[in-house]
Amino acid sequence: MTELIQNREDFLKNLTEKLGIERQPVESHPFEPMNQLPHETLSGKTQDELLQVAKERVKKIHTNIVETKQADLEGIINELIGKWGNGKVLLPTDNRFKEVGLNQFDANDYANHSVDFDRAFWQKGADYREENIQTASEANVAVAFAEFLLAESGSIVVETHAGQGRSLHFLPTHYISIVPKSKIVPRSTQAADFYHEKRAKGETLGSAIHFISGPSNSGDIEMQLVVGLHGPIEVVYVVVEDL
Amino acid sequence: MGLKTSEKPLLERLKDSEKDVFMQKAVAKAQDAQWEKREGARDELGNWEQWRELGEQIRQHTIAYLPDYLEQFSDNVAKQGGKVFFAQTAQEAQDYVKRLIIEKQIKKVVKSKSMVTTEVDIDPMLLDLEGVNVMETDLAEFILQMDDWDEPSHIVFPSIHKNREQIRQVFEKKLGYKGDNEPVNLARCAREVMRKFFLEADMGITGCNFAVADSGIINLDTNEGNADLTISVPKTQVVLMGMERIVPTMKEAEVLDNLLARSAVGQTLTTYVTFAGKKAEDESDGPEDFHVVILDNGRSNALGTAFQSVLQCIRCGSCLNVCPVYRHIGGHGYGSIYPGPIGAVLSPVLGGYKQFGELPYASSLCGACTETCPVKIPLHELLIEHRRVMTNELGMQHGFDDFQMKVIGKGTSTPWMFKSAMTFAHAGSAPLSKKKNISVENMYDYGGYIDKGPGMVKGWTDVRDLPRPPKGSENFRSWYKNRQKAGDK
Repeated sequence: MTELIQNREDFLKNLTEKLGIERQPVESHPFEPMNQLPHETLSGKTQDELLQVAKERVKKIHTNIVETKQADLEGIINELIGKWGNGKVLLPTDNRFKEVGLNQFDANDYANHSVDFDRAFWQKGADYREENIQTASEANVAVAFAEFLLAESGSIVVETHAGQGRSLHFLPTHYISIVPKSKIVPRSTQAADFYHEKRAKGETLGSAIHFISGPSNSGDIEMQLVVGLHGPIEVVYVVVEDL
Repeated sequence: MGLKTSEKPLLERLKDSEKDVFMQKAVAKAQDAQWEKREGARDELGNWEQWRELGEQIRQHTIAYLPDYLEQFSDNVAKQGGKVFFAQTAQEAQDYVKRLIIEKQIKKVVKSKSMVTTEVDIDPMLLDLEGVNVMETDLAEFILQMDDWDEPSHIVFPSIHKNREQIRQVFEKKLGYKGDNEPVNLARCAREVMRKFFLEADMGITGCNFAVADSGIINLDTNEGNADLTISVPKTQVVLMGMERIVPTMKEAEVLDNLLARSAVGQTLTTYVTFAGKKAEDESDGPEDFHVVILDNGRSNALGTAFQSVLQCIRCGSCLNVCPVYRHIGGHGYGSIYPGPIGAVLSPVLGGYKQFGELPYASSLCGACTETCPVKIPLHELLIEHRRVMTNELGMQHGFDDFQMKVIGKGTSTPWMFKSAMTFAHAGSAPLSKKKNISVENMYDYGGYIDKGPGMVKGWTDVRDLPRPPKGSENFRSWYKNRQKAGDK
């Protein structure tokens, strides 16, 4: 298994013969959508209107939206964690905590701020694989920033980076997403566009991008909805008005 | 199991389905519930027809340039250090995964739901490997595994044929579960069992909703969170994808994710819409070793033929959910892992007419499938096309059916034979006909009804009564002639 790509030529030759075409670079046939519905849907709304759309949507996906000002953010989050019984709280190593005044969650400063729960940070680097996954599986709560909130589907968007792994969003039992109000967009179209453009500009993307709409669920047993399966059992979005 | 799920002939499978009253009720309930949710979600979005056209355009474009997009995709996976294996057959795909497991001395494999892994028979192969444990992590498939690998019966709801009590009994027997049959408690038990296994797993196997060509990443749409754990915890990930499941960029994937969620389960988006590949150097979880197996296994038979559009399918299952035939016979009745209208079109393309030639006839051609398809596959037209190919091009014999069709063909094309048949039909059918009251189901009474017909007529009389043919003097042609004569006077 040394070659990275195996059996490609014969495989593709068969396809081109059946299709009766020659292979050509993809640039020679860019996809031009026949309509602009993805961009037109929910367009032209203000942030307040989009927040309203999101608030309606999350009722259907068993998720709460809590609105707050930056000054009250810490209190709101601590209250939520307390309601869920404190315990271990997993945090990404993320400078934004400091920027929004959540110094209790800043990896360099947290020790100076006492709280009622245990804090653990997602450690940067491949060497911490087992440790990070283990911590995430033991965590009662995870708190992380959303890159976007998609109003139409009530989804938050998260992207991995060294300080924030994939399983941080899936292994803990409860999950709090901090959403700056300015980051509410109409729908998944805008998030896909953002990452598409980021890639086109040659910027590095995290290896995983997740659109998450509330807690995990399943209708596999007699189609009766069960909230909370593999992923978190409860999810809250905290929308910060002045961010 | 592979593509074919049963060795029994179609009629025998139908008899089995007929007996399974719980299955029929469950499927009917699912169809009705999904109808409401699906149509509601589509109405809410608005402009559904235009969305379908966009979906169709994306899929047609990608299939038309499939070799180019597969080349771009595989290049991009390799650029990140991932590996791509192009498998012509199911056996090649299976062998690749097997070699990988042996080479890497894998002990625990977690799987998230994927039709393709079933198609290439990954599970029996894994079970045969000594020292390797495997776990299906989609709740429905976990239930099927616990029930000694019962076969799936629906693309989206694989365990739809089981009720909560049957599941409780399975959990009690296999997992020592002591609780009641409430779905939430059964699900919590499954969560606990699977979570433990997840944390020890060293390989994850997933399917692929869409592969994104320009970035070499995989798009997965799920609700339970098991696929996301499968791509996060194990160090090795294998993706099995049908070669057609590809899109140019994330932008087109996003459109299809929307069509898929609304069509499959009536959601705006599935709970988890994930785009991911091999982990980056500085990240700590996600696959260090990332493999994509791209499978043909008969799909290329459709290219350049009338069946090319079947490759547009995004596996939403909505054609199953509107199909009156599926409603009655359920997934197992089809004898293919791809049941329903899409299965009746796709299975003969993948597995040939010898195995699946009966399926295009398991349809009333009502066209509901074509109408609901979010990417506008002309499903019922393709069913007719299969029938045409089998009879006209391949001249396939169908025993007594063919004999009868020949007699009917000869009879109807020869005027004197046709006339004498019309005269004979009434008299000849007398021994078969019973006197019955006229009802909504039987509006025309020419002296009784046939409820047990011979040969091809049996297909009709098994489900409803056939009015006895009228006397020669009372049939439409005679009646019209007499009216004309009366008018002349």
